[in-house]
Amino acid sequence: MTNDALVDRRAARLARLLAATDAAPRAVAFPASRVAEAQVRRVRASVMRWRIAAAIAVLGFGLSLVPPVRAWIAERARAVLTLVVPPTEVPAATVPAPLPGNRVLFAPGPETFTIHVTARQSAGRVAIVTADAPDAAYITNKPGDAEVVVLPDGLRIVTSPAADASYTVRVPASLKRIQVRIGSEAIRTFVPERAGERFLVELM
Amino acid sequence: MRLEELFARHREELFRYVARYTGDADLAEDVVQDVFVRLAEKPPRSDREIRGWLYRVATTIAIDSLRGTKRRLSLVQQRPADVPIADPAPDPAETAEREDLRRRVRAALAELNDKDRAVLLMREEGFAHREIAEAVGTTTKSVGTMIARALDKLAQRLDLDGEVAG
Repeated sequence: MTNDALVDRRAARLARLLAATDAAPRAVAFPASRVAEAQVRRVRASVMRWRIAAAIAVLGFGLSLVPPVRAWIAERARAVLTLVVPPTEVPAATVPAPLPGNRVLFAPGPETFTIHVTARQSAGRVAIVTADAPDAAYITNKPGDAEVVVLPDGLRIVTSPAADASYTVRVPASLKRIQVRIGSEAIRTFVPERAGERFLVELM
Repeated sequence: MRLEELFARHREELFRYVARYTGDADLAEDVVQDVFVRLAEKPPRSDREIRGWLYRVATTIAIDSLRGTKRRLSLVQQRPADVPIADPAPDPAETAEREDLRRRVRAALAELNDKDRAVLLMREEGFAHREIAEAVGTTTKSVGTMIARALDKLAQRLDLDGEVAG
């Protein structure tokens, strides 16, 4: 006799034994009141879950308004995005500047002009000069291993710790403010008051 | 389907299964009701295979109840009132014989571990191996092994290898 046949035979025998010795059937009553209470508990639990979810959402939103937390969230978001989408430059008005010794013209807006130097260098500085002519903004750089990118509202100087270039940035005195940031350091803000002012930012 | 309709449809088979599983008709009645209270409070996400869900929950509640109240003794000390009322045997000798058989069947089932007993009794209720596997948390392949093992063990206590009378 195969195993399957033996199992079937024994199962059939057991079925008869069970049927012969089963407890008498009972008319089990539907537990209506307990079921009703359970349904109420279910609704309450569902409401509580929504409340907890809402509280977490509000807390998360509130925390996101606190600058350090917001900055951390933004940084994390950028990190995640760079994993999914390769970082790209802002497309508008992006112009790779020619290498050392050249002058690049640009047209800043009336509000804030931002200069972002991607890293500190072994030497060099950024000199910001204000002028009356609003349409004569430019940047020049002395020889060094760096690249200038013109953005819609500022400049990005892509450099490295080994570079030693210096830059002169001429901007309209009518700008409300000029911001300079080196790497991820704190932003320095300059407020032009008149033409002919000179702001120096050391890069080393 | 409404709870009352589900209850009406499944209460009899669930009671039979739990009564066999626990050997205690009173406990089985409580367990069947508890299953539907649980269904009202935490229903399964899908209505598919609700029958398997009912048996799984019934088994869990039955095991908890047996462990909690130590009613396992009732497997061999069931009340005479729980002897089947259908086809009553007027002959005292026959009644005594039936009672003895009932006790031996209950005792043999009580010897099985919780999972093997559930697997075997769910098979008796007509579940497929796949459904049993889902209910007790094992693989479909293991169910056949568990059934054979359980029957082997029962065969040592009961006459399962004799001829099945028609």
